[in-house]
Amino acid sequence: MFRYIFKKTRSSSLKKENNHKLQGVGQGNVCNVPLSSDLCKNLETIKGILHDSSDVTVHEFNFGHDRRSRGALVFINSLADKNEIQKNILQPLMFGSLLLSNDADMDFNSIESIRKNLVPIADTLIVALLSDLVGNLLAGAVILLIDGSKEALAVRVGKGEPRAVDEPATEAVVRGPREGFIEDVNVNIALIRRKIKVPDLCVEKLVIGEKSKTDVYIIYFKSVAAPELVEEIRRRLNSIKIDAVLESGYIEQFIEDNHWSIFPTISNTEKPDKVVAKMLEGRAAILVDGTPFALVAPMVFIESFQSVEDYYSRLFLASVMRFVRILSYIISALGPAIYVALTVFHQELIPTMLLISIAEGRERVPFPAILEASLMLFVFDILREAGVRLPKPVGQTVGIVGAIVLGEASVQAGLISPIMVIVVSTTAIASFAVPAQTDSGTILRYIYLALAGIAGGFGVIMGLLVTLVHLASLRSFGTPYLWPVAPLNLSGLKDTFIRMPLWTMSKRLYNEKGSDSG
Amino acid sequence: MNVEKGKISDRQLLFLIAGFVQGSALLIDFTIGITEHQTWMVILAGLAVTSPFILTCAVLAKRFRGMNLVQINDMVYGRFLGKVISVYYIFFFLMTLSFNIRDIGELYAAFLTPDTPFIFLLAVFAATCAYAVAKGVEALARVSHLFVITGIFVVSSTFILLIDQMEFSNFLPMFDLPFIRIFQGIHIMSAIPFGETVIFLMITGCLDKTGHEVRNTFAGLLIGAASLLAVAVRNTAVLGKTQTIWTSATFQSIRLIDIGTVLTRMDFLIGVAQTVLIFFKCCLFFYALATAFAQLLGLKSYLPLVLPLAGIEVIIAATVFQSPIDHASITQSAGIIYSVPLMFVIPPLTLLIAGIRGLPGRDRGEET
Repeated sequence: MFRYIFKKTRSSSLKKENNHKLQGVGQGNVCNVPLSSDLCKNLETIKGILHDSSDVTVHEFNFGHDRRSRGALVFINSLADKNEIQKNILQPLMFGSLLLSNDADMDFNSIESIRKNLVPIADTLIVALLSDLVGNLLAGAVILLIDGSKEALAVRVGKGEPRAVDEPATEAVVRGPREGFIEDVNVNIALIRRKIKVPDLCVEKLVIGEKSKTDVYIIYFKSVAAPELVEEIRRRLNSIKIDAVLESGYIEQFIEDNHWSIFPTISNTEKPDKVVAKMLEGRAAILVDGTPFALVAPMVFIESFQSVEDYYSRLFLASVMRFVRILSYIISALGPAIYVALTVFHQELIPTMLLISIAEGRERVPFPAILEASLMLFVFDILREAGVRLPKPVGQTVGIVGAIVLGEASVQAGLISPIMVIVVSTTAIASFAVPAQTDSGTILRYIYLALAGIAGGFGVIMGLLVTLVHLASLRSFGTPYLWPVAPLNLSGLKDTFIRMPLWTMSKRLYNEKGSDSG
Repeated sequence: MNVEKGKISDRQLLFLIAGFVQGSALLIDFTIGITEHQTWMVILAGLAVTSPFILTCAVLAKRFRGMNLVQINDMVYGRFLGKVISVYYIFFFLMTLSFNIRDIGELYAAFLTPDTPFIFLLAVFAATCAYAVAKGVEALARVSHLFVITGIFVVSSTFILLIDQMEFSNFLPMFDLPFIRIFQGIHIMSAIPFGETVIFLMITGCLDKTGHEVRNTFAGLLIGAASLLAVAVRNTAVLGKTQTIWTSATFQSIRLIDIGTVLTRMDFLIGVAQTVLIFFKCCLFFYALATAFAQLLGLKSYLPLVLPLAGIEVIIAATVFQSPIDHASITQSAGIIYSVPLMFVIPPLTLLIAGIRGLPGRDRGEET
């Protein structure tokens, strides 16, 4: 009965929602009409569409021969640069037009003629539809309307400087470029173009977001990226239906291959050199306006352990550091689980002296090892989350107070064993060595811990096998996620566990689409 | 219509077969009680005896490209008899899989986690296999070489670490055992690690490019056989005559590893490696079972059968034997008899009939 009433109520509310949406679409269709030649009518329509918004300026003026022509500028105060408008649009129109009054070729009722002779700005666009006019206006353009013309001129005079190009906070390097992407996508494209000066670099623009109309760019090297990859990215981007794209993470979640996997199948980075390096391997980048994070596809698991610095430093240290990262990930996922499995199920595997030390440390601890490890990991995650969200100085204080004072006090109080503090601390430090897999490492840590608590080493092995098979089943835009390890590709292994000299890595591997045949 | 849409390469087939044969390393212990220090000979003899039959299977796979065992049986023997033979194969897959699942349960219950309930071990293991099977043959094939490398690493490293304790006079005297025991040992070896590769007739239909399947089948078989041989040689060289008194000669020999009192208790490493390799073998058996059953029932996908079959497997594995001793003795004597026709009679017969009838012929598409 209750279910029936709930269904009825839900269906009624859905109907209302749909009607509302249909009305919205109706309003949208009104915009898709051509502009009128009557200036007043056009201005009224625009004001109506924008609901007389207070930040919209409509400036009417006279210009041309004997100032008999009438025009209007429409712009949004917060988005347009008033100095630019005054200097490069109003002054030429109101005063410069007087000089052209006797010019026979000058037609003051023609937008095309005005654009050619009176507007000294390169980034302009003639629009004839109301929808285009409104779209450009909302994107920050200044709209010039002329009485008697069925066209308008959208002049892009953006306001404000974008954030300065700076070193990315999440990908700091000791050796390598210090520049990182910013929120302005045009600056980001420029950063990429500055690194590779070839006409082969393709930049495709898409607009995504019913309301945000966010600019999204697919960038790739035409001769390097597989056409199927680019087509697949284009297809997935075009299928996105969303109100607003506020960060590249929105796009990532829509186009990733497996939504239910804890492993990311699209990589993200703030570094232009990294994006270029990946594109040169045959991958494609996706840049989203308003975010400094670029997406790169396809992604394989092993690249989580690669750093741009591996290629800037000599191969020996690079290979050692890569090994350290892989080991860190294993420790971060398995550390507490192995401790619990050993201390609870397989004590016979621990050397006697170590076993005695562990037993002494745990003598006063009132909790079972699984609970002790879970609590410590949970407290660590609280500290990490608090440290990230708080202002930097406060965050550091919280980290120090949490890690040192809390840990020490817990051991003194007999709540936690000293060896557990060491295990969790090592796990915590190791988890930051591989930023690309921090999410998966954190989740796996809890899963393996639970399995170790339930079934000891057997549970952990089963968990590892499931993880392995899951990883093997994943694909990123057609490329097996474990490539080049599984399926095995000997050429690909040159840049996997160790980094071979750069001169040995001459093949572009990702445009071969990592087939199962290897 | 084949129930599996995934494709594998012939190189992956090589690793699948190698990993599958390696998965039987633990089962060598069944033979040691019979063939004692001559187990290594029995392995080689078993390989030699089985090779022609495996060649038959490889030729069958090549002849009936893109088809699995159930489809081949239907085509060669007709719908009724073909289905009867397929049911016989499915019974073999079902029982052998449950024996292997039980093996892993006994391994943990006896050596590693004696306090954990046996049924729990079986259920978790079967669920893990079911997950892997649900991911398809492609996922298993992609990681096959990792399992093989794990097996080779464990066998070679334990071999090296035990070299100082090896006594090669343990292999003497040669040929002193009664022939009937050698014959029984060869039979076990032929039927279990090598003969069971007949299940690959359910997988070879997924090969994307054919041409090297025969060569790769034998390469995989040789890698697997070399691993088994190394295990047998290590056990005999280290334990000598005493290897027959231990429940698991493999575990006992590894327990003797002691490098500077630091590297000890390596038997856990063997436990992990055995778990991984038996898991791989069970996954392939489970996959063969699920696809064969789905093909027989005319289903579009084998996925709906995976969970119910996993449940059945756990029940059979938990109840089929009274004890590990019971398991070993029945496997040594009776358990392998019913599988002989499936490995050594039906495949050659199928090839013969297919040759006489000129199958699959041009009308293959219509018949399937």
